[in-house]
Amino acid sequence: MVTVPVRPDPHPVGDPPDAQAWGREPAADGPLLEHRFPGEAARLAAARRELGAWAAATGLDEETVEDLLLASYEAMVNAAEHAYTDGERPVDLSAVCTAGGCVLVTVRDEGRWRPIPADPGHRGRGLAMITNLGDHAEIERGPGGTTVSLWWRR
Amino acid sequence: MQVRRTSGTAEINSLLRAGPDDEALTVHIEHLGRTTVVAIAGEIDLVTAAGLDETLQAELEVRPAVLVLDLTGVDFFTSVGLTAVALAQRGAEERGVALRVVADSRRVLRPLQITGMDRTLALYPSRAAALGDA
Repeated sequence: MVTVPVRPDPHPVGDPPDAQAWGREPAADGPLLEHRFPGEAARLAAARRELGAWAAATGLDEETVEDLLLASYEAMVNAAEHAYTDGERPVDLSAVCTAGGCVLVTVRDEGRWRPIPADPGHRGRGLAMITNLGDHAEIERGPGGTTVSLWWRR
Repeated sequence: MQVRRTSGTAEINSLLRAGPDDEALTVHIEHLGRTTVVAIAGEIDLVTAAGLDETLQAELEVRPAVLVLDLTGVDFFTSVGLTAVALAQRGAEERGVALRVVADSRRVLRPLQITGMDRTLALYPSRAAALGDA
């Protein structure tokens, strides 16, 4: 499994320290979302609305919620549209408030990524949204699937 | 996706309402002489965008002098929507059509900026500005 930091941290180091900010340890309180759904296009809107309800409950400001929903949707599109070479497999969406003072959204699939489509710009644009709308993003690709992790400071 | 068409100076705004979830994207097409206005409202996502590319290419095929793509009614603008705009941009260039994109919200402008598309598109803050330049 290879972890690729896909975006330089836009904030000064130590505000808070990155290792703490980009952690996965959940906060003691705060809402938790765990949602598994078949990796098909028709399921994405419902998953997005569920994530929107979760994000509203965290107290994030409206613009951050917009960014979170868009980046997370793109990650789910990748999982559903690109990840599978045969049949439908589940996509796992989770969202949590972390001990490091962030919200963390993860989108995990169990499939293999398809070859670059005929219009390579399409995937490039989706990837640009995934990696640039958050405060920090990591994409892990391995034989067991792909996990996209997205952090926003609260 | 719902497509409505009118000619002349019909009132458009009353038509620009997103429907229920299964048709959360509305496309309104208006022909004003040699200018075509395509107004999109609602959520452009993987499901709702079906047919959007074909609709835009069909309007470009008519070769208007100007095609105004009004995105002010769009409230969720995914990479699927960006791709539709990019294909329209390419199609417009090939046919000598001046493509003008109207966007006034962060929800539409931010994806255009993140992907660098704002640097190559003719962007206008209002439909009036886009038409006034015609």
